[in-house]
Amino acid sequence: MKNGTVDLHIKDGRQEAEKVRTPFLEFWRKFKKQRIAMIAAFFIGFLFIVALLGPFIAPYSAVEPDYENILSSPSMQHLAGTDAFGRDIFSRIIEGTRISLFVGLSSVFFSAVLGTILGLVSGYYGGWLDNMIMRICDVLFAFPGILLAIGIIAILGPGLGNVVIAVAIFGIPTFARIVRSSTLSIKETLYVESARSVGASAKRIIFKHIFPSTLSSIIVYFTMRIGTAILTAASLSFLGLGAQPPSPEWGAMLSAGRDFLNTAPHVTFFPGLSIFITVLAFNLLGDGLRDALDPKMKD
Amino acid sequence: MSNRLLEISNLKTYFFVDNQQIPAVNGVDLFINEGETLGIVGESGCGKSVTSLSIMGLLGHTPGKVVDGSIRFKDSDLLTLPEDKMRKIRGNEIAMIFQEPMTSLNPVYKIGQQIGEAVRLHLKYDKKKTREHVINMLKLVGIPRAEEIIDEFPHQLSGGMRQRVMIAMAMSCNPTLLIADEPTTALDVTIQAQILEIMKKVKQEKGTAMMLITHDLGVVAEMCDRIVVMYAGKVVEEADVFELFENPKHPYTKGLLNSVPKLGLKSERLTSIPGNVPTPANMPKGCKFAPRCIEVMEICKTEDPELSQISNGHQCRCFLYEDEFVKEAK
Repeated sequence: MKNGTVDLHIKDGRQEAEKVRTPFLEFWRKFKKQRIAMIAAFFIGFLFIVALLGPFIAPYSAVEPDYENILSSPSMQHLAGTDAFGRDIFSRIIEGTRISLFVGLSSVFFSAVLGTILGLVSGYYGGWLDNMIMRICDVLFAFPGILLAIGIIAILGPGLGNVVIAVAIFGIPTFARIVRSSTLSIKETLYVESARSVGASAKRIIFKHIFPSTLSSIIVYFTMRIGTAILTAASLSFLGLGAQPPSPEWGAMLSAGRDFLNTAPHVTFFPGLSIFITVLAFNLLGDGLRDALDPKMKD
Repeated sequence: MSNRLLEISNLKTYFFVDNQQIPAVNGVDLFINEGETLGIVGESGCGKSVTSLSIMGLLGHTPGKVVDGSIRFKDSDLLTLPEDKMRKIRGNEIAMIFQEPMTSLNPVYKIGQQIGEAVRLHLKYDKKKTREHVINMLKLVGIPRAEEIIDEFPHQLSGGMRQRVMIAMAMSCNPTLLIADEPTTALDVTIQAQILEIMKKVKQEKGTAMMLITHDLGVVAEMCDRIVVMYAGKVVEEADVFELFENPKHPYTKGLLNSVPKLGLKSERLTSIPGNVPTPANMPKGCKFAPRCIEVMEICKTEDPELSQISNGHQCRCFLYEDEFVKEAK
């Protein structure tokens, strides 16, 4: 009889072990229910493939002028028409994808890394360190985002690399604040206390116990931020502070096309549309991630 | 007298809130011998938990601060020990079990990783050895199918199981002192008994001394060798477990014992101690218990009694027994 019960236990255990709900599986289960976010995710995945393959799938060169075909309307040869130098806009958009995604991802990555470290340190230690970091963030917040970026570019000089730095810098304070606020609540939890009671060091507690729990808000904001970063980078290029003319950056293309807005609207329409859809996709994905990662949202 | 493991003398831990000094622990003296179980009993807010946090040096993230006294553990004073030395003691020499098993495990790590943390920090075992050790610890605290539980997440376990995991975690480095802060309060009564049984078993097997903080006198009677009764940040009575239950002296201890229902006795209503614990911010001037005491005298309202010995090992802080106190030979 006793043996029988023991066996049953083991059997139950195996069945349970097969469907262990790891936090990731739990997230996936919630995420895949959200149609729009899934579509956005697929679209972003598609963008990445386009960005990687860029020159190989573009039907024409992105920089070679073709004076036979100046400002021609969309047709079967040129799906999105050509610009003032006869360059195929569709090909330029494809090659520009790489630039926009690179700028968006790298600048947000830098702000996320720096902002997270600052937020963790500031939230965990508190005191004067916290005060100092948060006041610096307040100062950065006081500038309108784009103005700050323009200011930074004015110091560093125009160019895509500097755009990345500028966009990264003005993303830092938001990350720092988000991470700091979750750190403040997590450091009071009993499991942090119990980690301390087994002799874990401050560094260990911050990075192994507090950081993983802040990760979900970081991921959500990271995704949403990429959209904004792409938009800001495009605006800076539009103003002539970022990518310089021959480059097929979307913002620079908009800028080059604005002289022909009346006669050849397709020159600005398609790059504009690309920016719009890309930013929208990142925002929708961010929304979906938030709903899936927020423990308060019950399905 | 057997070997003193921990000796706290005149510990004062104050909280500094809004420019006010709030004495949470106000001159506590107590000691624990090797392998002994000391129960600390008292109402909520009497300074039991703050005492244990002071021992562990975990007040850093509260507004609390130890302002006076000493805590001797083995050969060192824990209050003056630098943080890196203190870290080696935490978990390794003194371990702690918390009240809330539901929230004291980090939800993002598997059971094995959490127990293993202390093992790898202090015993410096490699991955494989840590895993074996953790499985053995889980088996020791009576967790069935330990090999599978080790890879599960805290949310997959029940409260009782989690508390077992916490015990396994606390005991994993063979500490010489285990501080258990109300380890069974959050659990079902049936589970409580099991957990206490496990703690007893583990303690016997490893010869660990234990400081059991609780307000449950039943738990105390079951587990402890000696009891310290605390009231408003002070020790009001200290005695052997049998002595205390047989012959309680302090009116507060009597009140506590009377407020426990007794089987078989067909008594009227359950007695209770009138009033509430005075808030630390506005303590009465004399004896802290005077406003609630049924045997209160004039002197109690103006003067605070000293903790004095009544018989061997039995101390009490009350003017009622002034004649009985064993005069200290000086």
